[in-house]
Amino acid sequence: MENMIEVKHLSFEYEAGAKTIEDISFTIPKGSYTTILGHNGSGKSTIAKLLIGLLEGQGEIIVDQIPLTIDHLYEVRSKIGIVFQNPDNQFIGSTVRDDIAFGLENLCIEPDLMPGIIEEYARKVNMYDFLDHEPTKLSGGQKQRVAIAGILAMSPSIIILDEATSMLDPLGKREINELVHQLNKEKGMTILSITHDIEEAAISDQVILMGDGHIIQTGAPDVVLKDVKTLESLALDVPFAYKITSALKKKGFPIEETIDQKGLVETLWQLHSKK
Amino acid sequence: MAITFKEVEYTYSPDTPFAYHALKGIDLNIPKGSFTALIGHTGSGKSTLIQHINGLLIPTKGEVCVDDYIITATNKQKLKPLRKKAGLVFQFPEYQLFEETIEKDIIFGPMNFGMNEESAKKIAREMLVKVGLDESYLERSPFELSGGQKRRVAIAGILAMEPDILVLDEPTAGLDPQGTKEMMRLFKDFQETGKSVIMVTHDMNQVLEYCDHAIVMNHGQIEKDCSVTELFNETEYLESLSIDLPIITSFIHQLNKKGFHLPVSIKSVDELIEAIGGELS
Repeated sequence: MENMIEVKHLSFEYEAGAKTIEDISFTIPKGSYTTILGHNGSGKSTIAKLLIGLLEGQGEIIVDQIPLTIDHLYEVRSKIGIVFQNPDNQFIGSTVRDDIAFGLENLCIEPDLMPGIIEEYARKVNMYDFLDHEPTKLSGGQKQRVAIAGILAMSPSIIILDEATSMLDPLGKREINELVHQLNKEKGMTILSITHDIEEAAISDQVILMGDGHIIQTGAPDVVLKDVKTLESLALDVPFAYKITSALKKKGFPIEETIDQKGLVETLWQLHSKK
Repeated sequence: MAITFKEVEYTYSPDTPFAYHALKGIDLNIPKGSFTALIGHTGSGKSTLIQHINGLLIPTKGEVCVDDYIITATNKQKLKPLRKKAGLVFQFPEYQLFEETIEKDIIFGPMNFGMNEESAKKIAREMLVKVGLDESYLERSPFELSGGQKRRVAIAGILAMEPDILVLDEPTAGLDPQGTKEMMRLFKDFQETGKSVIMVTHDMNQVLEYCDHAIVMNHGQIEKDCSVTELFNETEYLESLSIDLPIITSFIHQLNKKGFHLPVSIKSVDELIEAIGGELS
């Protein structure tokens, strides 16, 4: 499959001699949903900032065949939308409507088309009733939805979510996750989600495990998330379904380890009815 | 120290066009030594409620009693001693760090309440270790730390005031799983010394694992005041509020629909595995 992002031997240090990111390489296939998992301080957010050229490291970053260099900076950025953990750092407009419009104006969208796009995405994140409110006066979760709408409205080829739902309540989190999955499937947007949520990683296409500035493992969740030793050594959680199945297997039940919760209910049901 | 609310009403900016009736007829009793979860959607009044516990907000009507402090609109009792007893940790407390060194930041609170510098420094050391950082951090700037470490320092600053009640507003938001576990263990240890913890949270897994008492707020009112086990039994009610069940409880309900008979009171994965194993063999 064609790659949307290629990273080769990337390193970065905030202070000389203390590498935050050390010689990492990975690829993100076009249209995939990739999660980067890692503990606080493992360098996950630094990668996001490097990918959009907010920070400059050593090594090579290629986005949709375009090398990220000073000459191509804006071209690369036009392809990527990023949502940070704290939306306060992202507001420009004095109303939610203006804020979503800001990105569209930068893309030189026809003014006649803007109201339709703004309203569509405000509806998608359930903030339509707040279009004339001031973003700074909204609650944390509402702000995050506005930030997400502003990015989605620009229809970037790639969306990077940097712990973007960590301030939302479970319902808000679920709604945004569903929306992102929908955009991934229907519009083929490439998603890169930086998260602590092992269950979110379990339903993605590719997982990149980070620890102390290095990539520890890359692969399908079905492989990476079953490596309990590695997950535990990185202070990460183990998927719920895996905990249950591995323990039952140890007890001698005929069951295979899985990370798929829905499938597990079916499997246990069958075991139970055969009893 | 028990906490009681009697017919508490609170209105922001009363007698103005911006008046907002945030708490309506709150009656509440939080027993001493409990670990209470305060649950509800954004805007349901949770933050307004917790700020009444240490007198940051004064009820517009009704009364709040914390131990022998009675807070009413007219009572002019001094509230400073109460604020030492009830330590309030806001969301993202790391944004409140301000001193040059971590030690100075932690001793600020206790010294403000009249502790001498020597004792305050002694307790700063103890609390820093308690939150999982060592003494080498004392002389460092709090601004060099990672987000999770800053949060620990901020919480050490509250613990250093030796409160009897700890009020926490989403204390683990943004922390990684390991950091979350350590932080929750710290609060549980605090409670196990006989003190009370009240925690605002959206994470029902935490409620199941650590809390014993649950309060659900909606539109400025208390809708439920019950044990955690009772709460998670009411699946339809929780669904109507769009509150997710803990992953363990939700899994139990799914299996029970398929013919299992697992108790919904199960609180840990280990217990769950035992119970499933029991039914399969």
